[in-house]
Amino acid sequence: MIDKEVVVETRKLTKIYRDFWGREKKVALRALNLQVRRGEIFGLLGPNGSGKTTTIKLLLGLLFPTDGDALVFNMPSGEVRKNERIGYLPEESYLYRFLNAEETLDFYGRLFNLDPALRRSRAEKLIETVGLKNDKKRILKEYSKGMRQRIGLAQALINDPELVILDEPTSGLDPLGTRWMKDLIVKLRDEGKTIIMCSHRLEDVQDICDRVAILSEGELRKLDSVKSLLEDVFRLELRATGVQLNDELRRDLETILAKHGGKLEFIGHPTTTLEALFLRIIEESKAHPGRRYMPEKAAPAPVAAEKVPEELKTHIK
Amino acid sequence: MMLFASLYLERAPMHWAQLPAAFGEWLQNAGAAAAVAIALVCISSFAQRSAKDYNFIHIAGRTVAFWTYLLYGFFASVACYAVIVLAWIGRWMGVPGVDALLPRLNATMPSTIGDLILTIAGAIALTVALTPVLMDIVSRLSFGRIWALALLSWKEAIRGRVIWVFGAMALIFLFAHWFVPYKAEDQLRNYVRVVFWSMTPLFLVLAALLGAFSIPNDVKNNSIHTVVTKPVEPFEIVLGRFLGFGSLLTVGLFVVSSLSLLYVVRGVTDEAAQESFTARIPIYGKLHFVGTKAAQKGDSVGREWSYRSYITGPSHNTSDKFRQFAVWDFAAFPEDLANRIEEVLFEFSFDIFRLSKGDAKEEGRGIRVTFAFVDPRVFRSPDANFQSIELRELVKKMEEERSKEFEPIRARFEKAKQGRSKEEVGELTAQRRADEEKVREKYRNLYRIHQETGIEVIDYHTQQVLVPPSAFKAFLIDHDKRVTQGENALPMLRVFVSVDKTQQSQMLGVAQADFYMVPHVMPFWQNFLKGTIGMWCTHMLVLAIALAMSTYFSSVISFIATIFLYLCGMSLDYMREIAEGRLDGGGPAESAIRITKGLPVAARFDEATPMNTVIKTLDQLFSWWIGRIISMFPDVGRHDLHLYVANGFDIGWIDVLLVDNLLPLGGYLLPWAVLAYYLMKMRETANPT
Ligand SMILES: Nc1ncnc2c1ncn2[C@@H]1O[C@H](COP(=O)(O)OP(=O)(O)OP(=O)(O)O)[C@@H](O)[C@H]1O
Ligand SMILES: [Mg+2]
Repeated sequence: MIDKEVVVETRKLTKIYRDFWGREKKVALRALNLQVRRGEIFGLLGPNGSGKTTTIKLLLGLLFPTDGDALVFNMPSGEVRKNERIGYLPEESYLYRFLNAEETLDFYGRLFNLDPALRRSRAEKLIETVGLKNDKKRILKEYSKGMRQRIGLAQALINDPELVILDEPTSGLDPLGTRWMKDLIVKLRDEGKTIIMCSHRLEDVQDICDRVAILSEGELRKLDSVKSLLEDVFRLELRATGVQLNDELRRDLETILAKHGGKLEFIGHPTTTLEALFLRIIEESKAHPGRRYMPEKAAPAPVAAEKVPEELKTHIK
Repeated sequence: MMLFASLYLERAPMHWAQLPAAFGEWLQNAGAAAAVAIALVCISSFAQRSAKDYNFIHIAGRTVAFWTYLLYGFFASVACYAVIVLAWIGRWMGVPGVDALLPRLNATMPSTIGDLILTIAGAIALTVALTPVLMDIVSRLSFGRIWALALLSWKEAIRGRVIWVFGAMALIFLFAHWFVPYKAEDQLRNYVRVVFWSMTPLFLVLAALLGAFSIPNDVKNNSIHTVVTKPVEPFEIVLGRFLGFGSLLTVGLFVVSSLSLLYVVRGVTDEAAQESFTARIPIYGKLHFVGTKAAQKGDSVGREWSYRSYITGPSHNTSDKFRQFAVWDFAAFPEDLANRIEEVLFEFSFDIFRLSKGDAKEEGRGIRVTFAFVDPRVFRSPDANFQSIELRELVKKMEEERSKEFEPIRARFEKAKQGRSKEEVGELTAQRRADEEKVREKYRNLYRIHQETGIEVIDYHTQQVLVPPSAFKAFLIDHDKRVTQGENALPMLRVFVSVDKTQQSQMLGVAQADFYMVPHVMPFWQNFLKGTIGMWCTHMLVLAIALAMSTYFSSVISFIATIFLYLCGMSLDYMREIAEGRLDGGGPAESAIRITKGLPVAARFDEATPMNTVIKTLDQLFSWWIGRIISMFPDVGRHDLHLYVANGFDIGWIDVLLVDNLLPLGGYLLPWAVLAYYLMKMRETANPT
């Protein structure tokens, strides 16, 4: 049975790296079963060396499975023709460093046999989207890491793909860039594309992914939607403005909670994330150049450490 | 007088007629390679059947799985090989009659049924290997993508400053004249040699570097990941690189060789230039002899190797009747020669062998020879021996009749000359010449013979005989009736060469290529550029090998292996000698026995003891294997065309360039391309091992 809505499927996907003589070096992935559906942002989460990149390379046909199957658009991953509908951003942008941004996009456009007019208009639009308009004539050797990540994303989108596979899309980007990248990914999803991304930056995954698979040591540990993974149904959060924290308030709250059979665990000022703070500072400094940042308005909602599931806690530095 | 010797090639270029045999041998070798490769893939897949990524037959989507009928084909081919192996075993065990089933040991022997079986086996194996490739090429390969990759290669090379290498070559030409020995007669030859030989290593190293480093570098920098995740067939990467670097090398070669042509043209002195800037298109005749011991051979003088045969002339104490002739038959010549105004050029370069030591005065002087150009239809006898006697009579008769007609012309001239001024006498002389020529022409048409006597032969020089076009008119009389009258088998022109009566006995050494007709001459520059096509072939060869290697090996290893293969290709002639068993002392097994037993090389080794039979068989097997193995080396010698350019012989488009250069190049590169196709397709791009 072919489910049109399943874009990517792995069945018992296994990869064992071997040396030249065929001796086993490392089991990078063990019997992975996944289904990625159309129009979702699917996150592969896991610590270094957990097999995220290996999974992605297997999906793309850059590696061959030792066992099991990887199907993309219902084609085996070794099939070259599936690539027509895929965009791929590698872990680091592995592009030709002697080309400039325009030539890079032109080259990859040619590989899709796009006709020249379409190639040019898409390249122009993408360069604009990724914000490299002023640097499009410079060769990639001179680019900073963030700029390379941007042109890398542009080349992944040159064919207007249905499936975008991103390996650590936010690595090397500053918080501004990270925000931009995340917004873009969400926008791509809203356009109806399917996105598979992997990351070990939890906040990225948390912010944008619809579903995540958590890998560790090459094995799938958890697979669910982010919302249900993170939701802590045993606890309740309450947020308020206009009151001062004092013992009376605490006592009052405790009595109310006790009346409903609950128990007050924590009361105090929320902290914001560094990301949110950083973004605000940059925003402020753009609005009022030369002035130091003063915390005036209420900070955005915090992310409480308690909410992170047990599996991830151990990996947070 | 030309300053050139004629064209001696160590190996004559392959001829159209040899093409089918060469193709058969190619099928055997390429097919055997394909069979071995398929067998290896099957074995490794079987050994790794638990690991899908090493099981090449089952990599979904990557390798076109062998369809059943291809597998059957492969079994058919294996069955053919099995027949040969069984025949070998049968021969060892003394089964009678199996020898016919064995392939010949080397190319000098006649081919056998075994060869046919091998050829069929090879053809099947090759078809099995080629089918998926061809299917892919037809259904999947896109020129647009290949072109994009080629453009990328151009940009990479140019921005990587590779083209400076071409600049370095220009530098060589600035200083090359320091190394060119200056001797007028060899000047052009030396210039051409220096130019060709200085271009070769630089271009070859460049081609090998470009080919060997590009794909491994892409793999190392992981830039290949962004390419193969586009709808790019792995083989398109190889083809794109080949097209890109190949065209770059082509342009570079064209620029550098144009520069070097300028350099040669400017460097050669006017005197040498006038005589040697040419590209002759020779027509060779077939040589046989009259009056010698054997028609196929002249007399041997025990000098040199078998290249030349010798004829002598009558001396003052021998009869003039028994002459020796070297006869060249020209089966055909261009019919437009008859309509030409200028004379038709024949060239010769003969060797002189002195039987007696003459005095010092005579030493430097050559011997004189006579050339008789005859339409063989004038003879009553078809036998060249009788013809040579007839010829003497005919010439004598012709000259007698002719001189009768010369007489009134001479008398008229003497009479008119009286009391005329110098200029008027000059005019009259010209008139007389013209009248005489008319008479000559008349007798030429009548007798169809043109004879030039007393031409002095000088050692080691290429000399000329000019034949008036009217002679060709005579040879073409009633030409259209040749077929109907069954005279088609006769050559259109027969040339009798004999030595004139001399004071001393001297001999004239001739070989078939020593005398030829030059109906057309092409400009030197175009021949020079054609010569660079041979070089171009080696560049493409090296580039392709390096690229194919680099689909599997690392860059440095590919580079070294390519250079190694090229050097092996250069010593191919030596290896052929081993393969054809021409070396003294036998093959390795026999040599080993000789060494352990202390037998000298010349000692006999052919008693039919069982031991000796085993040794001989081993050596034959060895020599057969060497023959297969050397077919894997590129035959680079055939692409060296500088001798043609240097000696002023036109490089034929069809016979030399197409049949002997481009076709063998294609035949050699095809298996490499197939290999590259599979290696590229089977490799895990992201897992370099
Ligand atoms: N070519 C290779 N040969 C041998 N082992 C490899 C190879 N590539 C990866 N591995 C191993 O496979 C395991 C998984 O690697 P992988 O690159 O998939 O991890 P990852 O989850 O992407 O890590 P990171 O977060 O650091 O990018 C690691 O232990 C790694 O050492
Ligand atoms: Mg990774």
